[in-house]
Amino acid sequence: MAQEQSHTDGNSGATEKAPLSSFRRYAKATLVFLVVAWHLFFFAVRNPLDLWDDAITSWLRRAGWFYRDSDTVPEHAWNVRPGYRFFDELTFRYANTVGVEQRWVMFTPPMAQRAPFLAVRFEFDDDSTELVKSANEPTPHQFFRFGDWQNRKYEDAIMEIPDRKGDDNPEWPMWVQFVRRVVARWKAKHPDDTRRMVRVVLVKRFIDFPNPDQPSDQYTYDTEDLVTFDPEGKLL
Amino acid sequence: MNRLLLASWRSLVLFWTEPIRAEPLAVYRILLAAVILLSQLTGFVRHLSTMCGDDPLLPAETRDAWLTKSGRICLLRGPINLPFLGEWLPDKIFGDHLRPERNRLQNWISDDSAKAWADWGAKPSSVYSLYAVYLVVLVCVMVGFRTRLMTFAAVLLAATFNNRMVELINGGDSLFRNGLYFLLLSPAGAMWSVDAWMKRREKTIPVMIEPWSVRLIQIQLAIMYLFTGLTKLNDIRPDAVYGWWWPRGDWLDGVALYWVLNDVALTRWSYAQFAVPMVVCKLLTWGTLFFELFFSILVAIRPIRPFIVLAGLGLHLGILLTMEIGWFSQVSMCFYALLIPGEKWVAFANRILRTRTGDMGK
Repeated sequence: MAQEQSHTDGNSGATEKAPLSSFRRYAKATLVFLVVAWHLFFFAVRNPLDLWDDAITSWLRRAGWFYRDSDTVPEHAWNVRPGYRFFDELTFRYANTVGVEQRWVMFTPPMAQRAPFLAVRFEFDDDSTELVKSANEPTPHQFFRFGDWQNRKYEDAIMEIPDRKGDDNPEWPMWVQFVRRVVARWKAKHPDDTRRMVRVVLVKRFIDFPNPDQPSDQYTYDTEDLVTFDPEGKLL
Repeated sequence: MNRLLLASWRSLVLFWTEPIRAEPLAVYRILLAAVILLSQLTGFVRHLSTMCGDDPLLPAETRDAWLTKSGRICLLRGPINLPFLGEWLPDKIFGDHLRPERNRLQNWISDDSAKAWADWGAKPSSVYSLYAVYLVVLVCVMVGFRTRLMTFAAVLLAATFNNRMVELINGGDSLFRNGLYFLLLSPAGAMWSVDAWMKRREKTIPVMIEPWSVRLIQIQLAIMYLFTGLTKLNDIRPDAVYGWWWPRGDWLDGVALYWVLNDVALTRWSYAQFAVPMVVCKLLTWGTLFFELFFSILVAIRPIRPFIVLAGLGLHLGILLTMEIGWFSQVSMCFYALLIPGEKWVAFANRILRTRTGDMGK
């Protein structure tokens, strides 16, 4: 054991080193203790707050320990809100800055019973339309998928149309660029098409999964128009 | 009672302080860096020019408000949230307290320099160059060359590219950043690394390391499962007849896996092609839920740990086989390297490399 400990190393190497002075040893032990204690505290605080912030604050309000800014705090009442929000924000920013985000969720109930796919409908001056489906949208009863999940994630993000549309939203150019790109791609693919494109509509196409008591290939479709642009990407 | 408390305390102290063999951490480092590298080569590499090149789908300036608000960093967007260089001690945390002192510790870069930095980061050539550096850095982490410095660089660059193209990432990308950060805290280059080789370490004695950083990674894995499991019980309501509160929903009903396997956006093939009997769906649903809820307890019991490790690997291989959800399973399986004893890794390495017993650190 003594031999093993002589090879113990807290840094990158593990060769024998001169023993640390007692001050450095205590300083290092204190630092390690603080790092470990902070991360255990971080795990204990961040995970519940990521998942159940609303439930926790509602419970604290019912218990009379959590008052909003607009509330009148009774005399001698114990208001945990300032401390709660301090540690909430501190751990939130720590997680995001160093990259230890928590929020562990996967297939949380209720389970999705339909899958959305992005599509684009081009509308022309002769009232004709063309629907371009996502490459990610499969024939539901027969497909094999390998890779390309990042395109799916990107299209999922495009389908989340923000409430604040237009130039006052700093993220809006993302949607404009998407529209310009799909229009350019369409024109490159159909150089001989003489129709004039007048509107570009982003469409969400849903594929509903069959219930357990239905035949397993009984998929149904539904669509929802999301937002309309002109071919230059201007919101209509 | 006192004896039990004393024994518990002693176990706790040993858990955090008793030196452990370095091989599991070395394997974790190698696997994690290799998986991240592969994920980059099959992922972001293909999207870099479309998303961040000329006339990009994700214009650089669309990141800034989100980065500032959330405390995230991206070296392609200037000093936003970087300690000392940008604003990293915001009023949202500290209110009006210590404002002059905080101001002295942040925004060391002038507005003009910050803008020049952001303009540089918006150029496609800067994105490509930095990305090339990222790939090289990951190779260095994998082989353990200047391990701590390279891991630090990898943490920064992983944050940079994940946040620059956040619309393209999923749980696997978040998990590998998590894994990289804890790797930075650990003596990851102590063994099976260029660093160790350059120090000409004596090969006949096991290399021992302090355990605390490995323990934090193990706890992170346990927490991931625990909270993933708990959120599956989120639907807690009073019973309509008896009034008692009880979790319910798709996971307890046993139909969750049926819906997952039917999700045509995520699965590799159609459920209509390979229908899984409902009884199997139910067993898999309950098995997954049990595993996630009780992993943290069961893995602490040494005699059954190998079975828990096998069950976890089986779970992730099953997800990998049936779902197309990026690199989540592969990254998760890297964490399992830390649950396998060093002696096993040495034996495995010796078998793979066909070297004499003892050559790999025994």
